[in-house]
Amino acid sequence: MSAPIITTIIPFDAILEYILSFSYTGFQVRKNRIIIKNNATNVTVFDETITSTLLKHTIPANILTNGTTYSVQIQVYDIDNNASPFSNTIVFSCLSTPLLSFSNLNNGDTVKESYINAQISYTQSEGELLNNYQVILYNYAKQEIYNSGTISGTILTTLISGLEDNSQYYIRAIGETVNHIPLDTGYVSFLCKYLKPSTFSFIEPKNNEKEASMSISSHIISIEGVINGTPIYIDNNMIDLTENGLKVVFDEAFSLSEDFTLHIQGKNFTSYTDFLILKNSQNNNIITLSWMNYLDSTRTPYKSYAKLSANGKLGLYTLFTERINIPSSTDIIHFWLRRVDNNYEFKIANKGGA
Amino acid sequence: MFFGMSFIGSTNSNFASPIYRDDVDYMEVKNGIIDDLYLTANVTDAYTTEIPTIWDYDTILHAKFEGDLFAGNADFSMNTVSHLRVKRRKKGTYKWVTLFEIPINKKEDFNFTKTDRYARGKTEYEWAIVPVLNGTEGNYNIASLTTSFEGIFIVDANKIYHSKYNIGHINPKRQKPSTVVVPIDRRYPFVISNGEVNYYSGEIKATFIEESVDGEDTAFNFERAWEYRDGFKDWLLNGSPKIIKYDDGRMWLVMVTGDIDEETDGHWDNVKTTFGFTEIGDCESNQDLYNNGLIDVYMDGE
Repeated sequence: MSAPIITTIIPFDAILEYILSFSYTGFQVRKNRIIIKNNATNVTVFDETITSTLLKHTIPANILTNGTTYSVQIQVYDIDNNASPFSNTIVFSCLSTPLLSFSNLNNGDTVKESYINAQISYTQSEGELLNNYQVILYNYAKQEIYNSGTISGTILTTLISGLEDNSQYYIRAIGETVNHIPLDTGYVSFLCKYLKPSTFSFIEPKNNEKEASMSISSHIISIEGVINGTPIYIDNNMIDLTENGLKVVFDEAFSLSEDFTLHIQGKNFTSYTDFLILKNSQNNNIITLSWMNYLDSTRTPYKSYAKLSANGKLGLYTLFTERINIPSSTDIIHFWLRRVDNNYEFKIANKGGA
Repeated sequence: MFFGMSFIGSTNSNFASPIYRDDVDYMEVKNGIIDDLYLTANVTDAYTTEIPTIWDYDTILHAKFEGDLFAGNADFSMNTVSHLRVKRRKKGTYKWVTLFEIPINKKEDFNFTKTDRYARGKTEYEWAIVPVLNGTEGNYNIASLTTSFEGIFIVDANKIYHSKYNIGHINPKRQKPSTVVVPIDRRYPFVISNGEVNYYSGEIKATFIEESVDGEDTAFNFERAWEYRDGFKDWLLNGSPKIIKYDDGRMWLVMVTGDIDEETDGHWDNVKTTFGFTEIGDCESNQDLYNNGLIDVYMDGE
């Protein structure tokens, strides 16, 4: 007559009930008996027979004690109360439920950087060691987007980078102890939102077939103007340079040698003054844009226009835009200047109130 | 003379271009409330009052005065960015691999060209330049491209060897050691496979020869071909890890193992070189590439 077989029992928490499964090939099972002994003292701590055709037996909660090693055997009975031989003896331990969590991240946190250094916290009352774990990142729909792979239990931090600004993520760690107790932090949600240094630099990859390589070029241009006073910004998208003598100069990392098109727009230009100067710092040849008013017979301004002045071989070359109605203090005036070879085009438009 | 005047008679009367066309390296704005200032080398687009919002290769300067005086395509300066990182990932995946980290000490450091030698063939990748500000990474500026090359390449950080001739079938073996235990009292055996060992090994056979390409014509250096092959073998056996990549997308991080054979095939100039390799790491891992001396930047967790 064959005996039941118990397979390996992963340590479980004695304060919770545990369903022990076994296999048996033979007669139809009507009852099964379980005997659990303290493995150190061989004293029987639990001996129970139940009537059941199922190949399992429930060990009630709090019958066993955490931190203790036990041995277990099972025998089954047929309808005539004939008992099978006892099963193989399996030794197992009861251990408190270990806790795996993120020590630096709580559900609903906001992460203010584009990366997270996830720190794992592991505790277990009886000294059961953490064997390994994985950290998994999910998007807002809980679709897996990153898996760290298996990390040894001796390393308790893992870096996940490339988080996108203003995005919802879930992070989860799963692992096991040295005796294969499964661990799971569950899904921990966080929002990634950071103040970022933004750049719209160009990255240009090129395929180099001859060398099976890719050349990666950057085209970052950093130009910063210099002001000879305190800048006053209006609505964070305009700068007030109406104060007499105040100006912004761009003269570094900036050079123009070919044909060009220039756009400049603003408001409240001071009459009969220059508002834009382009210059070659070596020979001082200047292109100047000035804001002008057209006066009627009583010398009252009734139209506005802009004037271009440029050094020429014949003296000062001038070009005028068309005249427009005197703009209001809120009207945005747009100027368009194009140079092709030695020819200039110069246009003006009133874009209306800002 | 005409009416006593010679109005086209002076030296400069007939100049076609009276205005100096000098380089401009200085610009000054003042005497108004300035909203936007934009300068481009594009002189073909039609007149418009709409100032372009996209920085392109013709853009020279664009100052928007949005609380700062930046006029380049970066709203940071070298005082606020310590490094730029170049990263790469397969399109459609999440994981980036950092390939380069460029320190920024002067404005010129922002413009660079780096060579990525460790991308697979026939694969669409994304590359990103990422500014780093006091440990915080900024926006990922991304561009993508599909790689393409022909033949087989063996590369490290300093050298490239290539062949597209007489390439033998590349059928590397995937190794995962295991033991089969046959018990007495069971029908089926136990298979024991301990550890995570799981790697490729194989053999490369091809003709490696120095060639020069001039348009459609390719010339081979047969005279000193043995020297070229000797130099190739010296490099293979220098004890340093290599990347082997094949144009169909397969790629391995390897060490050359065993002997290197040569055989001629029909003609003494038609020499095939054969060598073995064993995979030693993940060719897509920043840490493995760094630990094997193929890149200079180490990023924890990649």
